[in-house]
Amino acid sequence: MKRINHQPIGSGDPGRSAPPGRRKPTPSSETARLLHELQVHQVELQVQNEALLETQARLEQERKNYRDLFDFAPLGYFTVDLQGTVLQTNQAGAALLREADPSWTLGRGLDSFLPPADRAVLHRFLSALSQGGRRRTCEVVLPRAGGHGVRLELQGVRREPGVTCLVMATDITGRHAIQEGRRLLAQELEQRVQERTAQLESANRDLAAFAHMVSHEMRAPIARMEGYGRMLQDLADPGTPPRVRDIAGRMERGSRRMRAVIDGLLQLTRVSLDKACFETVDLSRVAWEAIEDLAQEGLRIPKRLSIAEGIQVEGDRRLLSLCLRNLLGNAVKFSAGVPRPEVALAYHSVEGRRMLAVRDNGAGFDPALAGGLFQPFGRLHPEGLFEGLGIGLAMVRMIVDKHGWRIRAESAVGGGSVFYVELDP
Amino acid sequence: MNPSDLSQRPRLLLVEDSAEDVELARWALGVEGYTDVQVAADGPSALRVIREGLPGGDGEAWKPEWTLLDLRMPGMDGLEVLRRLREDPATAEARVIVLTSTEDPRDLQACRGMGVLGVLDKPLDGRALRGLLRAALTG
Repeated sequence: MKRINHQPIGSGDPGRSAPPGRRKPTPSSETARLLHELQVHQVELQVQNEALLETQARLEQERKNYRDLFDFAPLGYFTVDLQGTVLQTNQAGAALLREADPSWTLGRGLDSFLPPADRAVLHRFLSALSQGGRRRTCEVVLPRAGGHGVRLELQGVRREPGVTCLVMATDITGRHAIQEGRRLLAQELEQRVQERTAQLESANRDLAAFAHMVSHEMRAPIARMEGYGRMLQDLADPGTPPRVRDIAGRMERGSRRMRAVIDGLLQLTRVSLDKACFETVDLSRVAWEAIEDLAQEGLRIPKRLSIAEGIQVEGDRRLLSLCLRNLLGNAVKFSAGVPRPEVALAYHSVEGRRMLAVRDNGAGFDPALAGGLFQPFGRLHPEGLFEGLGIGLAMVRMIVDKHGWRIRAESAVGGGSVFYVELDP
Repeated sequence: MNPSDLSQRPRLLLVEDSAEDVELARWALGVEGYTDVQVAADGPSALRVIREGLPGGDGEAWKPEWTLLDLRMPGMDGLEVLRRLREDPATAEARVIVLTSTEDPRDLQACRGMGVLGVLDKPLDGRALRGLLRAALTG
């Protein structure tokens, strides 16, 4: 700080005040210098003062701007103490509280505007805010005469330091209505799906009951026809014309075949109606069991038989057993006529895509005719050449579909066949 | 008679409501030499015959060694007959072979659950029955 010179300006004896041994400035030049210095100070002060005034005006303008922003903000703002007493609010805040002037809300508890049920919500919210820290939110409803209230989302934060909180209120009545509408729509859709599912299930049950009825009503008389055909053959004696015996035999065989067709169709219906029950299945083991079943049914299992080990898949054990029994059964059947029959179930995994292959070196089929291969009764060989009804592969296809897999076949006449089941199509 | 004697033909009770099926079954059984066959036309009379027997010619009651049971019958069906047989200690061990013209796996499952010795398709094949009896007696 500059030392203040107490000597009055332009007065006294300049010679007396001068220190000894230095050249004494003349009193008049000293006064002029001080005067100049003071004038400079004065100008500086004036400049500073003007700058201050300007800053103050700018600040005032900015404050007003922010005040306007606050006052005319579309959201309601409240400054409240920890008990929820309104200390400050804006136009939107006052409007939410149904007051024309923000000042009329001052000193009143925010909770006094709420229905009793929501007061507790507000108090919990304020109590949480008083802990400080992060921003909190809650939802309350401001009642309105003759209708639904205004649903508010309150977001608050405690002012640090201090005992006041800033609370921002957003009218979410519209948003809430949309959400509620969506929820109701989803509920209605869900209900409709359930109704349709129930209808479908009921229709499926009817179909199953129908299949069951057909099973009995058609199968029983056909079985009788078969029985009488057999009886007629038994009754034949040396005097019976061979033609009669022949006709009785045809009758029996035809009936037996019809019975098998009905059984096949019923099995197909059941596979299509049954819900698949998924679990981890040891397919290698299922394949060996299928081979045992086929052997028990009287099929000659070739010596050259190979089943890949340790094939694990996610699937329905019963359906997969049926599927393999058909595929392996076909392979055994169609390779039975060649000198060195071979049947194999192989498992490949190429770039994470798993594939089963059922192979035989048997009769094969013309690839040009393969279109109907997986259709019911889509036989490719003349009746009598190979046993079978043409239902097996339709069932295989249905089972593969139920697992979300894909099946295709490759073959050449006399060159064997391969049935590929892609597990990751 | 010793039921394990394969040369003998055991006493059979055929439980069957259809007269045609009875005729066919009797014929098929006869061809294979099963002649000691009685018929019950419904569930309740089947239960009675198995439990009490029929009055025999020599004063002794005729009791079946094996029962061939049709599943589909009006009134008490074959499954119900089986259930009642198994409930009664006197008949719980009765040897039953089911005759069926249905291939409903649920029915067959239910039969196996009730200790049926075998299931034979209709029309009854005498040779298939003989194979089944032989397997049951020797196995």
